[in-house]
Amino acid sequence: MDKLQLKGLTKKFADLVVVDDLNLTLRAGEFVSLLGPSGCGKTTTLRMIAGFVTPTAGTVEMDGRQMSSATSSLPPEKRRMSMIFQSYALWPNMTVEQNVAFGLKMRKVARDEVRRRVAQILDVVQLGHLAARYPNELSGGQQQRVSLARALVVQPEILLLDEPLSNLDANLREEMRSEIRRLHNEFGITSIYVTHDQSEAMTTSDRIAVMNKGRIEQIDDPLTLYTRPKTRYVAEFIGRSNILDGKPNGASVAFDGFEVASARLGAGGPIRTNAFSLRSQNLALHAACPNGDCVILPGSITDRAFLGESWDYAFRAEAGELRLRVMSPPVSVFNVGQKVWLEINPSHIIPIQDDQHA
Amino acid sequence: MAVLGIEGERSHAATKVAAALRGVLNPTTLIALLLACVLVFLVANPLFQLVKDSFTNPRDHSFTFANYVTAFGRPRYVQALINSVELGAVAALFASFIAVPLAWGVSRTDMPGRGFVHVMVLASFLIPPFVGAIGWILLGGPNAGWINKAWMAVTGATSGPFNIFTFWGLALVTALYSFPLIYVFTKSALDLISTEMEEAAAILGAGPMQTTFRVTLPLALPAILGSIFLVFLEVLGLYGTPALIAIPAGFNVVTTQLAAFFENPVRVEVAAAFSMPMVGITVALLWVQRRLLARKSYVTVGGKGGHREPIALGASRWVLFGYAMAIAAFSVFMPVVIILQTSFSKAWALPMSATNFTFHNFREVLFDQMTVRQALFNTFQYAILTATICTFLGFAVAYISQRRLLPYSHLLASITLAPFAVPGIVLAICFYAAYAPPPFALYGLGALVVIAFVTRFLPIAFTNSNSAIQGLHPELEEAVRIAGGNQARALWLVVVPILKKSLFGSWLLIFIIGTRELSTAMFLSGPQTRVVSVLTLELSEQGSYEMLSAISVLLLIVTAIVTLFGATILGRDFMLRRN
Repeated sequence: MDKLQLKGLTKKFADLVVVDDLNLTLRAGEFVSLLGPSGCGKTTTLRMIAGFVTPTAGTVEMDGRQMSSATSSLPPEKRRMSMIFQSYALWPNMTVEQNVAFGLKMRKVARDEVRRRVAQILDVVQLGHLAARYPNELSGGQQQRVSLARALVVQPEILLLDEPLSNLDANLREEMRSEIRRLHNEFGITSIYVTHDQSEAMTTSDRIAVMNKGRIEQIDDPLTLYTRPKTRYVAEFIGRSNILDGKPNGASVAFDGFEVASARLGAGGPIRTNAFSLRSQNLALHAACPNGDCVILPGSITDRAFLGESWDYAFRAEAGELRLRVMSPPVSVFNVGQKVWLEINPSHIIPIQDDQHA
Repeated sequence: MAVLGIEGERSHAATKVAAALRGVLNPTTLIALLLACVLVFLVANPLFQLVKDSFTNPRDHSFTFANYVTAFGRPRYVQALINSVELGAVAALFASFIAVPLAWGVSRTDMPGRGFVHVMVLASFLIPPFVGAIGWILLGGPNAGWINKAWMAVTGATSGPFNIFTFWGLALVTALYSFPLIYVFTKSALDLISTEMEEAAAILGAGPMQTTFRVTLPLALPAILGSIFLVFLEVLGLYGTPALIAIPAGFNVVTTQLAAFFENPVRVEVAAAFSMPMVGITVALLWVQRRLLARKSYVTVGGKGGHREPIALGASRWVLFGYAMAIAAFSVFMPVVIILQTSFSKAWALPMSATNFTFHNFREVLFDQMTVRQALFNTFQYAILTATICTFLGFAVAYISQRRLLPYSHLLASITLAPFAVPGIVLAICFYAAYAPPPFALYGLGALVVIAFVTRFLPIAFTNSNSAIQGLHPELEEAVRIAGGNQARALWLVVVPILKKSLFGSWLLIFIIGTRELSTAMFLSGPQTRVVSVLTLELSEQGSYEMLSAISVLLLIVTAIVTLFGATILGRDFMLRRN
């Protein structure tokens, strides 16, 4: 069942188009991330869903009911949504308990019921013992949990999360993102998560919408997004990719130094592009020429960096101008200048839309 | 210091002493020591003399409690104290009724003319309180006041309804010129509250008014309360307005009572004793105010300061606008118009007409009356000197204490801030006690007025410089040092150029408040060293309101020109920034 629909959603500030004809549908209980660099329009999109920003064109619909359009906008307080803010926005003049109870009081829930539900949700986020504290007496992670509890306790129609983890340090961030997913599994609230961090989006989301210049470039589940990027932008934004130039030539595609039958590439249907994505993790280096039906290119290592969990090699093919970056496990050690053979599985070569030249 | 390090071995005592001397006698320490002496002269000694005099018998210089017995022995003296506290409380309350709705309206709502309202608040901040009081005497005097005359003309009544010469009249006039302080604090607190705080309430179901009363105002409350305390203290130490209104009304407040102790015979020791409760209250309330504002997390909570949609008030936005315009009329338009009119009148109580019109008052003030000319000249001379010395001293102390160039430099900073806790009129008593008698015998010299002014405004100069230097990363100077420049070069080439705007801003601010300072000048200016503010009181006693208005107009013109000049260079609100 569709819970939330954005149709042709557009926002202009003066002449600047921040969100550009954006379409997105969320099923009930789905967790979707808006992923993109700062300035791509993801926060503005979220704020239009919340009702803080009125769209220039297009609509926001929840359960088939129109919430926002260019002419009318239901105020945020009437939307029955919740939001987690980047700063957590816990009111420093209220205790943890008062913060969490606020939304229930606004919904005129009976006092006993408020107390019961606040206690319950504080237990869920493991903060029952801190109910009487003030927010500035809590650590960053605890504040984040209070903010989660405050948003969840009202059982919102939709939960909006605006870069909720960006103020936390790395360890805590990992802990909290699994906490967010755990709470989602427990309560099943339709959620939209805005972030610029791909690992956050990957670990929490059912689907990820990669945004660029106010538009959604691609929306897919995390694995598809990684293995089948549709555009150069997505290929470069998610993970590490080599972008190859290739010329479709009837039944095969000619790359610099090798040629592959179109049918063996990671694509269905005919190929109408000159750009291809090749993940550096999907390449293998060998000290001796391997066997098999993969593409084998002789070449040498021109540079290398040890990243701890992997090697980052720069590879140059013997013939032609082809240069690739290759990620290898820590145990496969090659020296700069060493002659190597690169193994490419053609099914990992993904035709992409080359927006750079478009 | 490096010299000491090289000496290392315990060699000759003489070399060690020489090395130690060299360590002490480097330029930085010398300047700092000099500064310490200046601060003792300006702050510590006068304050000490105040306390000492209050316990000293003036005839034989023995220790005594008699001064306190005299000061608090009479019911009417004690009543003056009670009147002051009541006046402070009522005026602060009035001021908050004026300031908080205006600050909220400008900061948060779609009230029409928000920019104009803001400028009007700035304008009432710029009108010297005694000028406002004179305007209101002309407006609200019991029979001849223009409001009462208008009332009588319209209704045909034989007497007007309004009498400025009452406690409530005084409280109203006081509030009209002290509310900008509360406005500034409230508005900046409201502006600083992260938009996310309010959005969080909205998304959880709170409407605009619920958000305002449950989240916004509670978050701004410490700042509002703190500024109400400050206004209370300001009113407590105010001399000009009570002298113009309370004395004719027949009651005393602490400051007018203190002035009475200075009438012949001058009883400094009694005045010193009588001022002690005022100092005590000031110190206590400032401490409370610091505590309130110390909970910084209230306003400086981070997060994206996103765009804030003003609250749509509907039709009631015109009600709020009307209220703001009424305040502007009471504090700016009406007094200024009446003063302008009076300054061009032969007799202020007569209606404006061709026969009543004259330039005589301005000619008198500018050319004919030597005392007035002298006072005008003194005023601007002292204000310029004060602003210059203050800015320099304030910067020096702030720099030394921020960069910890000296041991105990925080003590230097505390001494610099101490005059803040001393009302101007008490400071005047301090300086009278410390430097009027021999060996200094400065009474009657302009220097006495200037050093008292410097002490009075030093805290302002210091806090301005201090916050400016705080915003300056020490690495900027360290970069100069590592590139081969010394501390002085770093100061001259990097710090001063970067801070010159804020230093200039604090110079202008001190200049403007220096031209209107009354209570500090009260007991310190002799016949040759009178300033305009002191002169206005004398003219008011003589009833020469026409000349008084002409002086007020001149003062307002200079203030307006200087402020416009500053605003062009430094931005509209340079006077209103508070730390």
